[in-house]
Amino acid sequence: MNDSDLENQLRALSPAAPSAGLAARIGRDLATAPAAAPTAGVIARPARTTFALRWLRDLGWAGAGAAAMLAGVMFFSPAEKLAPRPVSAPPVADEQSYEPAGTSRELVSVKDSDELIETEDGPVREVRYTYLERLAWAHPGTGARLEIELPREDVFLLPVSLQ
Amino acid sequence: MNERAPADAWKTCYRELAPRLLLFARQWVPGAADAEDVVQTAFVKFWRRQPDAQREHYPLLYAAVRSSALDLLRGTERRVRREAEPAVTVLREDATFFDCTVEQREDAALIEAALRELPAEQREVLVLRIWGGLTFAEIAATLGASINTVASRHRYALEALRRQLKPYAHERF
Repeated sequence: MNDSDLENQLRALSPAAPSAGLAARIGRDLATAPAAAPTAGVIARPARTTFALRWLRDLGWAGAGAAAMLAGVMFFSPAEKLAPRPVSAPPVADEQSYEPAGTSRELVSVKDSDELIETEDGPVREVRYTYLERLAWAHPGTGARLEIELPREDVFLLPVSLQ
Repeated sequence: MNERAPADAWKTCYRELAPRLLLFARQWVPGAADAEDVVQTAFVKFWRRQPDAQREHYPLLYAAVRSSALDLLRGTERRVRREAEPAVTVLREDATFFDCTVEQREDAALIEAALRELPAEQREVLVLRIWGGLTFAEIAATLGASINTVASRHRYALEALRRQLKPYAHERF
């Protein structure tokens, strides 16, 4: 018997039908549960702005930048800049700062969503990588060590091809 | 429901797919009642997302069933561990996979037994291909595997089935 014959033999069998209650339960769930919001599964994109609005926005940013620059120039006067710096004593161990002593990242979980997200570039699937990052600093003088742990999550949208 | 589809549009999809989805679900949760729960959860979830689902969306429905089945399995295994009982007592439940005529009954029993012996990754491909009617590309998208992998698993599954059914070949196969 070749593959095709065997496949036909298998296809001749019909999968067992579910109980009548299943359709009723699904119908009840669909009738009572709220439907997905129209925006569900859609990545929100900023609305398009007109040329005038963009121009006004850019002008505002340019003005803010100029004001900040002017404030900086007034605050740091030339006389202050040229003033001789006091000679400080050589740093002692207690005044030395902590130095980075290492980082590590542990992958905690990978969640591969089975739901499809429609985007302008086609359907994508969301995959979330959750990490635990450990950052460490050490004090060169005393040997004291400081460690912190931070959660981190990376979300990737992977294109899905159904063809 | 969505404005684009009538409220009972799901029934057409359900009538077409329910037996196939149930068979697919039972590859992980052999208990018929658990499998129906899996199909219910997946179908409701899918239909809320795709109220105007077409044929090209069906692989997503199978993927949703698979995901729900694995979720249920994980929950079952956790519960079993808590209760310190062997998992097999929860996962095994005898109920036939197929609706068959009297003439088909013995063949169906042999095929079902042979199916249960297949590795899970081969069995799911075979079920999706033969009874789900999906293409290799659609199965690949459903399982998150490459098309070549899916085609290989299908071939291995057929070979294994043929080997298991060989003793009965002179009578039926």
